Amino acid sequence: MSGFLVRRILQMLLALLGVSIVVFALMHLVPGDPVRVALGTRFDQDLYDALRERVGLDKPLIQQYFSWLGSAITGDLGVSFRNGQPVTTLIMERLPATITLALAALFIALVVALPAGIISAVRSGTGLDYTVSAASQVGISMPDFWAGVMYILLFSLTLGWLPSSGFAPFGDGIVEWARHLILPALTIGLISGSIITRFVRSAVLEALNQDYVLTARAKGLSEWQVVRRHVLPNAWIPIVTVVGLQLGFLLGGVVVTEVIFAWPGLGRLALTAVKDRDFTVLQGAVLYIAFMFLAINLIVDIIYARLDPRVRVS
Amino acid sequence: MTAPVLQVRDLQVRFGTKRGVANVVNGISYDLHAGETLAIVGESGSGKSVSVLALMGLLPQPPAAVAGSVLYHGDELLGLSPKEWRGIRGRGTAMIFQDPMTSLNPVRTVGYQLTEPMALHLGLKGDDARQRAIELLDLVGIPSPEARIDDYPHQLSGGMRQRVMIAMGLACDPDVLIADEATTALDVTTQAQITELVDELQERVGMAVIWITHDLGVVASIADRVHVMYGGRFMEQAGVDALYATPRHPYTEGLLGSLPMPGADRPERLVTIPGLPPDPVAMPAGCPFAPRCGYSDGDRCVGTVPAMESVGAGHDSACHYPLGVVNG
Ligand SMILES: Nc1ncnc2c1ncn2[C@@H]1O[C@H](COP(=O)(O)OP(=O)(O)O)[C@@H](O)[C@H]1O
Ligand SMILES: [Mg+2]
Repeated sequence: MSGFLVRRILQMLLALLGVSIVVFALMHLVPGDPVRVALGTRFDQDLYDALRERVGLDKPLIQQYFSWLGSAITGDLGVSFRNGQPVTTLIMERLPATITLALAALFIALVVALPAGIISAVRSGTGLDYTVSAASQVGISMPDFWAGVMYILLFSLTLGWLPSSGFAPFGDGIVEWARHLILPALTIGLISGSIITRFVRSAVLEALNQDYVLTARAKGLSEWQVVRRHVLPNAWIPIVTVVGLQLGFLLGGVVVTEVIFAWPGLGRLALTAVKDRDFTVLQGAVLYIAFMFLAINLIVDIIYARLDPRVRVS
Repeated sequence: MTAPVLQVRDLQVRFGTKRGVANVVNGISYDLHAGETLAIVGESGSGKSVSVLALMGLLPQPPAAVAGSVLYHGDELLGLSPKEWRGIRGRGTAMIFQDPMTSLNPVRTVGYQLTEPMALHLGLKGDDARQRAIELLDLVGIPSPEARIDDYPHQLSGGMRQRVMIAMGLACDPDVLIADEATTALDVTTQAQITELVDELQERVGMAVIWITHDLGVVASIADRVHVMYGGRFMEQAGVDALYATPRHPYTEGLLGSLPMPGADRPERLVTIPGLPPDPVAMPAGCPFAPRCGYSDGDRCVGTVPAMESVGAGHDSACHYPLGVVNG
């Protein structure tokens, strides 16, 4: 197990290195001169040259990459071209809102998807199964911008129950925090939940068709005992992968939902950075997202090994 | 003779399918006594598995429809509630399946799977259950059972897994053990070991065994009586020696003819009877074997289902023209 962990962490670091190269290369190869954009209409050749030198853009690319990487390892991702603030600070500021929304959305997704997916697999072919399938199809095809706007129309403008935008930190009291969180979490959580429902259904269905299920029934176990003790422990294995992927997407920032609800998350930070050609910020955000994905991947692998004894040994 | 443990009468199983009604089991009857081994033999697709799944109440209805009668110690099983069925399954009748590689849950230990029916039917838990599980593993010939009990299935060989399946079947001292192609997936040496094991256990425990196989060669060594099944019906039934010595049904003759010579490799399938088994959605009106039978008269054989009739002491054949019997 510990050998497995070390191997996986090394793999992850290697992947991060690869990502950093790609990110760096892309940022420097795309057209658009950030310094020129930063200076805007007040362009001045001397100021331009001085700025380029200050952020190191006058050096060869390779040298720029290594100095960027060197600082990145120590947590220093440079400063924003736009406002001179450290990129790490900018990202850190956005993390509470991002993580709150991601976890709340995932929570809603799982609360919907696990029971719905399991029941529709166990009762496959019944009216209940068709209802769940139809509902999840609607959920998947529903665009987030449309769903978000509908919720605002209904719950904020018509009923006046919930605020239509903004983020309230937990320190402001749990009620305000929750009231601001519900709509954006619902918007993204139900879509995510619909996707997960389908995977849960097919994973459970797949496990239900295995021979060991007949063995379990032949022992005299009730159908729910069979599902709980034999079907689900096998079905979790593929389900964990999908849930991990969804969490990765959510932690990377959900741009559209954040824009609709004026949610101060990473998605909007990245969007603004793109608009402003603020490429140090964008680089930092992409690197962070890649890191999140890889970290979740690692966690998924660890859970895998806990769920599946065949992985544990090999 | 004492009363049979299991009395099966005119058992029929149909399935509603997209193509129409599949008549998979079409009226089979037999008695099973304590300590007896009854073999059901026939080509793949003849309805053997379905017929025993019906005895265990393991066919979901619908799509299946089960009719006839199955008496267990004189009590009717067909029509039991799901809860009543659960009291029989694993307790009165236990079943082991064809493929030991897939019949055990890969994410549960041997011990977990072995003690499960004990908790369910005997109220045996914790150390008591574990102790009994170790004894059972020892009984089925698994070396160092104290260590193996915490293994996962993938850590065991196919033969060992099938031994675990047998131990699981024996966990609650059932009266009837059903082995559905229990050796088919194993290599020849392991096959012989498992057959021998079941034979030996049966003598020690005194249970009745229904041994299902498509391989007449396996049956010879362990069965007392043999029922030859085809198209969801019994074609012939006899004591094992009589069946081998004097087959009275063309289908049995065909099966025996397809047995390999001693020393030859075991054929993957029975290939020497030309043609295919009947489609259960379009069962022939007469004898199900008539379309492939070299003796068919093209008239009575095709038009009327032959009744099961005695052709000797304890020997019956369902053929209009039983082999070696004059007139017909
Ligand atoms: N659930 C089902 N629905 C429809 N047909 C089935 C079903 N299960 C089995 N059958 C059909 O019943 C026939 C006999 O199957 P089976 O009992 O498995 O044969 P055997 O065990 O003798 O090889 C096959 O033709 C099979 O297609
Ligand atoms: Mg079968």
